[in-house]
Amino acid sequence: MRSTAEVRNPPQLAWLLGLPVVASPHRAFAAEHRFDAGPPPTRILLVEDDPAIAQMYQMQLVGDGYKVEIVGDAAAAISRIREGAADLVLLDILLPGADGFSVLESVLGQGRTPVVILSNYGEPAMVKRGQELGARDYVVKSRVTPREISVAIPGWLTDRSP
Amino acid sequence: MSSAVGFVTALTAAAFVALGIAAGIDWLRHRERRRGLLALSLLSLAGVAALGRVTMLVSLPKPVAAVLTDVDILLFMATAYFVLLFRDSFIPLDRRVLRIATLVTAAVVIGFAVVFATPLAASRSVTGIAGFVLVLVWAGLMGEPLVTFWRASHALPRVQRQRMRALSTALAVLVLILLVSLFAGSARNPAVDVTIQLVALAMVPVFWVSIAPPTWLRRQWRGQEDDQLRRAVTDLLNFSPGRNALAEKAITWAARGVGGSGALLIDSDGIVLASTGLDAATIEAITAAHPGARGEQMLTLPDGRTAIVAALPLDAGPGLLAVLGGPFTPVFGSEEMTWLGAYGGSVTAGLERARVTERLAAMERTKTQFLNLASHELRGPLTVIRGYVSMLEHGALGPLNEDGKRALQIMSAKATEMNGLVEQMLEAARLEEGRLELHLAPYDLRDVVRTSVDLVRPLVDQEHPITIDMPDRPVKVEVDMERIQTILTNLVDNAVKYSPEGGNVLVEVVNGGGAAAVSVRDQGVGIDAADLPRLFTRFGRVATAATSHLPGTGLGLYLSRELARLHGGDITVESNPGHGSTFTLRLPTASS
Repeated sequence: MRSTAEVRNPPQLAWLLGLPVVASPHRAFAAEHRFDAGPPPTRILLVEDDPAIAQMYQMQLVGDGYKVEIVGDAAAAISRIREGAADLVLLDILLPGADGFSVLESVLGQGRTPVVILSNYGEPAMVKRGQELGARDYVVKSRVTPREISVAIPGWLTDRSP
Repeated sequence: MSSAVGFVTALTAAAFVALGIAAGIDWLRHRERRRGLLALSLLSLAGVAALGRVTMLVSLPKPVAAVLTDVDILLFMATAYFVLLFRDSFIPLDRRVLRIATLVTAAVVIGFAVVFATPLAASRSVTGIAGFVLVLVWAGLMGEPLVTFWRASHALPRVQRQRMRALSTALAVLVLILLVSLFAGSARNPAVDVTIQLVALAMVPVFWVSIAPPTWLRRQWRGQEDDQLRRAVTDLLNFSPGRNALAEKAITWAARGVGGSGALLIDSDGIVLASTGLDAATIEAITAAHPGARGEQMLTLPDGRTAIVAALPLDAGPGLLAVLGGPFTPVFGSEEMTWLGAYGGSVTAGLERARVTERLAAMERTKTQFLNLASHELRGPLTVIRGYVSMLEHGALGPLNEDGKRALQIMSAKATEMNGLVEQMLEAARLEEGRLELHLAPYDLRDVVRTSVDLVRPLVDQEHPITIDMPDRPVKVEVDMERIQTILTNLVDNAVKYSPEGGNVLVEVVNGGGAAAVSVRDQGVGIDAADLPRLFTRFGRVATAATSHLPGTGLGLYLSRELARLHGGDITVESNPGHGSTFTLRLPTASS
């Protein structure tokens, strides 16, 4: 979790956390190994420092066919976004060191990777700031289920207006 | 007539002698430089008056008379010169001006002595010119200070102002008398003489008032500021925003109240909360003489000025309120000490109130911050719990057996309940920090009520049928839909929760008179009249044997009422213990 290299491989992360790899291994496998048919899976960069929450979303999203990479801090998130490693960023605000807003500030206007804020701080001032910095949406984690997030992803990917 | 003139002249001279002696004694009591200068001036005046009588009554040998004349001239010029020095000590003169004044004074005195020691003294025109110069120089030395005093008096507190004006007036009258005598020359008649003497006599009490006004007069002068002062005390006690602002006001009025020229307020830690008209050395001198825990005392500072110091019995230890005397406030008596002591009581009360208010405000802030932080911290674990519960419910984590499904249902309900409580806490924190913004939009209140009841209905068992009674026509309101839903679901939820035996819940919408009302009536346990006032306070949950087992933060009704009030409405309650309660939400209706 602390090192990006470790967490880029979801099964390895899950092993580190001592939790079952994924709920539906067959679906996850299918998602990860689509060699021949269809487009490559949508790559989601999950910026989340709470391993329990990261693990849970990963489980849901991988189960739904997404490729998920987890990073735990702003610096790693910025470098991965700049490398073009993600199709969608799910960004936590409260991170160790620099916060999620700093990620938005750093990648503002660079590329078109959509960013959705996933935070447990949903005060109007923060939502406003997130929107001003170009976040596509602002979601209070405790109010939604992982499934609802998963269902909303296609919309976030296609909706170009912030 | 001439005997009358003689009597009045003698009386006046005696009065001025008495005034000089009194001023001297006053100086001996206080030993302050400035007071000393004024006393020297008045003593000189007394000397002039006495010598004038002596030379008039007793026929002296010529050399003695000549010496006495020189002394007379010297004393005469001294009266004006000391007044000028007094003025300089109060409002400093340019050094060069002072030097010139000193030289001119010396020149006049010496010049006179020389003229009178020579045969020139026999010439009437020479003595006439000499007398003319003498009086003019004297009038100049006197005139400048008296005008300055009068002008400076405007800005001063009443006691100081009156004293300064008294001095100014008395000096002006003396100058006027001498000028009149000078120009009238020998063409005087006895009536004019008597009048002049009587006017001069009248100036004696005026002088005395400026040096040491009696208590009754001080009180009377102050009395005219009393109304203002009473307002200031009220202001001090009730409306001062904080300790420092209060301290600033307190010292201004303390100085005014006793007619001091400076004031100082020190708290129990020895920190100067406020000071006015004092330099650092004076502050240090007063602080060094910090009195005991109680009472007032008079201090004499190293430079001779006096100060009254009143101890403030603050909770954290004695503080200090001091007022320093200035050139026109040399007299501090028991009257001023008593006054300052009493005023100090108000200042103490005000400071304590401000301290308690500040501490309460800080506590309130801390509590709200805690509420905010705790709720956000609770959201993290809740996210995970609710997330996995929902994934379990959707089978995303594999199949569950029947017991597992039942357990999951309960977990889900409890997690939702917990989430509701956290949201309530956050809403309360938002409300208290003034961060709560309503998103107003036009709605038909009937729709809002319907959706709110629909939200609650699935969570309610069959023992609690919910009936809605609404008018046929739309009830237009401008509200924050989500917030009104929060209120209504809370009221309906409470109605169900506090009817453990079951019973109808009636939701009724009424429109009329520019306001709409939604009442939620239950047939539950009701609320004791004694508990009603606590019902809408924060965490004011009423716990009785019948209800204490029910969950709740006690924030629900508090929040509901505050939200209603933000909408310009309110929530009221009527209750009949044992038979049920009716909560009514009133909202203003939209005009169009």
